[in-house]
Amino acid sequence: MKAFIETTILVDGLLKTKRRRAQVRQALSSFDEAFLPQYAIKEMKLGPLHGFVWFHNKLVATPNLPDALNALHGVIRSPKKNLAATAMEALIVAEESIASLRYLPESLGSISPARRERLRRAEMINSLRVHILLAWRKRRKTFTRVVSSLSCFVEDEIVLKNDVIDCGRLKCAHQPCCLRDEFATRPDDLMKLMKVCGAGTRDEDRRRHKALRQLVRTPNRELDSKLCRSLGDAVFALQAPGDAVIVTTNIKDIEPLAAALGKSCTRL
Amino acid sequence: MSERAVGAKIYQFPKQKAITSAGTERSTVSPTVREVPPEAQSRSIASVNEIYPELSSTAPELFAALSLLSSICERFDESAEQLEEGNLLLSDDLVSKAILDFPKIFPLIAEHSGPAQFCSSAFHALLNKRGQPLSMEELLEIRSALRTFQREPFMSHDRVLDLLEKLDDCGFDLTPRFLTSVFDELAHESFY
Repeated sequence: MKAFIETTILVDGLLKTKRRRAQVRQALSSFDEAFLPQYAIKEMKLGPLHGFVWFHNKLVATPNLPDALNALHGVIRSPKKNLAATAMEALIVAEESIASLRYLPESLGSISPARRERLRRAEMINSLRVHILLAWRKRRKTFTRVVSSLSCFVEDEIVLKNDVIDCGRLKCAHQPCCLRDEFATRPDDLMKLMKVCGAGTRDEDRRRHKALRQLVRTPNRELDSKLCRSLGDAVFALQAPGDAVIVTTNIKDIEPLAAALGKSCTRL
Repeated sequence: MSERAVGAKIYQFPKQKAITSAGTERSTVSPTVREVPPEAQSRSIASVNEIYPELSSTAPELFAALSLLSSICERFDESAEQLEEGNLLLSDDLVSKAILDFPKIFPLIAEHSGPAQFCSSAFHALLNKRGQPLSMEELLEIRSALRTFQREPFMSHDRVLDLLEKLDDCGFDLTPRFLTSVFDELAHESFY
């Protein structure tokens, strides 16, 4: 059986905790092959990976930890925002930090709290750096192979320049959008997906519906990067081979789209 | 650094015993050891004093850190020997002592990105074992990474990542535990 990897699995497999990453690898081992569409790499780079990079660069640019954590708190949109804030505050006194009093040798025990905070900040910056750069390195190594290449999207390397991380281009390198050319020839499938999205009430559904409608009604019109991104989950439903199972953590959104095209999906 | 190290003599830190090449160590530890890359086997290891004769005066903190690193490597050498001889407690005790040595190094190199990345990642890789003794494979992998780093303390970021990637592939968790909740939050789809 073939697995067709959706972005949430890529993110879990590369950016979450070691335990979760191991769970993903273990679960995928039950498939004969695991195909990763390049659109998932694009979504990860524009989304969560960019979030990690943003926080890394924020830590580098802000003079102290609380400022950086406040900035993070300001952008988190999670419904568990307060829990996240508590977790972040715990960072300030993290006992397992290499710079905590618990581990600092006696000879360094008298260093000032400000120095300890600088050490902890350095530790966080370095940990983020390792996490981001290793995840990016492993994006094409974790699954059997990358499929459905996007000719208009160039995977610029993520590099460290003068202490900050540069993601390179986040948008597609050039027009026309290759997905437009790929999907515009499948109006029947697009109509089925439009029907699913039309029944949704969320902004995400409305944006996806708009992108699909443009592909159906004006297939020669340029699909800009915003609309390309709005297609989101529909891309996986459209690109998944008929004999593959779309693997996702977001079964609620993927399932109706996959079902509309007679494809199967599973939650990991 | 690496280019200058090629063909150099035995690596010798002040007040430390000589450290043999990776190839020699391999034969004393275990027949199941992962293959050492040929270039590492053929390359002799040079003293930091030889390669950077000015280091002890121009960067005394880094010099001190490298000396401490040398003693950590020795602990791992001995730990591997003890494990091979079946002395699990002794072997594990040496690892526990090595864990406590990393925080001594970190404040000395926190401003040097590559070394700091390696030091804190190696520390958390060991700490995240939650007291579980290292397997021989893990022991040899982390020792190999430490040795490589010791040989090339000014290695590029990419080389540091090469070492850390091997540790990650070996099963070590390099992420500080106190950061996992923030990392999970950042990876959560509601963030973007």
